[in-house]
Amino acid sequence: MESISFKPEILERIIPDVSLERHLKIGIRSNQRLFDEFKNIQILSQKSSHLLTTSYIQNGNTLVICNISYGITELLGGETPEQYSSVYPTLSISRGRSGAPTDEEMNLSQKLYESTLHSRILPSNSLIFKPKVMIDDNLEDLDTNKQFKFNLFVNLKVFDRSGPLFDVCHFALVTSLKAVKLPVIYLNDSFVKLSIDNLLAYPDAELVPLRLNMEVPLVSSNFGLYNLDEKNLIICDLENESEESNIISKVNVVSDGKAFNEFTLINGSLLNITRDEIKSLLRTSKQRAKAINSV
Amino acid sequence: MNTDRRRILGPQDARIPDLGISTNANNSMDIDPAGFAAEKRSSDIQKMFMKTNFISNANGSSYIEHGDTIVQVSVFGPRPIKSSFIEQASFSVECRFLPHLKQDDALDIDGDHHSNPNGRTGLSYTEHKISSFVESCLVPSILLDKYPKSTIDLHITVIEHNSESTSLTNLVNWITVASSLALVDSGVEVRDIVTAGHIISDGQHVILDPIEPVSKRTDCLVCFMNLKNEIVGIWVDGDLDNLDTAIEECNKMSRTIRGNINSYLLST
Repeated sequence: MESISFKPEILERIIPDVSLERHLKIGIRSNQRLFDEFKNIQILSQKSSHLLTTSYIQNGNTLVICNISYGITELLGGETPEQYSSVYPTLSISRGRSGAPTDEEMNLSQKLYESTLHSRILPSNSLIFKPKVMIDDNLEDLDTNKQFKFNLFVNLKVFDRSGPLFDVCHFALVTSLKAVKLPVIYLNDSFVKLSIDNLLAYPDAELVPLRLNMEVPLVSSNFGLYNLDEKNLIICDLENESEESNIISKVNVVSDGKAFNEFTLINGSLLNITRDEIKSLLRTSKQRAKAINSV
Repeated sequence: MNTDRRRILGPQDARIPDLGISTNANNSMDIDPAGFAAEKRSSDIQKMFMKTNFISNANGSSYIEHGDTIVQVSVFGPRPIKSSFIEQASFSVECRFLPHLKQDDALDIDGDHHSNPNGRTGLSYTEHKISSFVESCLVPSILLDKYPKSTIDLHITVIEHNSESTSLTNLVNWITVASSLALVDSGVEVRDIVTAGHIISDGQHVILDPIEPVSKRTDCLVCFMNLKNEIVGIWVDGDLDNLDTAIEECNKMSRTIRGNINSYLLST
């Protein structure tokens, strides 16, 4: 019988668990990154107009296009909104198919919605406004008790997925939120009734930056924990099928470089995770957030 | 009632407002009444940027920037199909605009362009029209019988398009070029690279690759396989008095684009 040899990338697809263990035993990763090395993340371009904010974010080879548009709703009498709001994200990953969203797309959208809400970065009162009125080409305050609210619709399009997407999508979302500028909304004097159908965005006034409860963008970092020879190995920024499917103890930390906003631990392989290991993860994620925000 | 439970679409009654009319004259778009932009001669083709092979999980990919237009195309295939044997590959094209982009028919699922664009699931009329045109242009160029029991899928994403400054036909022109480039990048065997040319004409003047809105003029887009000078698709909007001249001018433009593609492919 002849032995068959496979290239490393083929072996990774056939027996990902063996491929991962072999790589880790000799102290390397299949993507050639160090255990504590993250993929580079950067904003390629960002622009904001009256109706839309667009950001292009690159993370390794993955490209995310994030568009934030808005819709207006009327706050009904007596309605007191929650102190903090969230955005309404929809996400699609380009992978050569179309149709209903996949589980990953739905879960990520939900996670982004909840993360934005619970990290309390978007105060509701920064979205609530009273419209102006246009009289003889001048904008004036409108004497009304009616209040309206901006609702932010986020669309994320992901190209070239190579690993877990929460980090890059979260970064795309928060950096885009930082760039959002809202227009002055007014009622034209030709309309008599004040309703959302008659409101217009004023094209000549300067756009107003969205007020956020966030000085610098929050940065999400993911880590995998893998048991190798009775020792826990910490692997930063999981990538490739072998790491993603076989490392099932995962930690996700969201930080702005000074404090922590979110900490998620899923101990799928029931590892004995020590306090020092968690401290080390937190320290790394803080340093990473600091480094990204200092650029 | 909003019945889509798989997407987080927000309040159903949220309305996207229209942009009011600007009172500042400087903000309005200056349109040259003669149809010639100051810095562009009628025989010029605008600069473009092209890139291939930048999406690793597709078999082939391309990216084209041209004026206000950005198009990305991915080719997935040839992939085996599960159903019964077919003698040649089936080829499908799906074109989608990013949800916020204004299309010519600009109607979403509810027939209202003021509602959340993220809720649109199916293809719009414009997207259908573009998909079927590109498909019919590319099918003659692909050697489908080389790939039995397979499928080749082309996914086009229109990332940016300004429907006020660029006509739909001009967009389709660059979609066709990008699709052809992605097919070459995928390694699927083709007879020839399909390139296209687009003109507008007012009966007297012909402008190649126009950058102005094209109201009251005739738009003509012709797609070629330049090797044997074969026409694989024609799209005409309006009345065209002289089709021969239009085809000739489109051919000139498609040959220039083909020359650029050739030198790009040789240099990569």
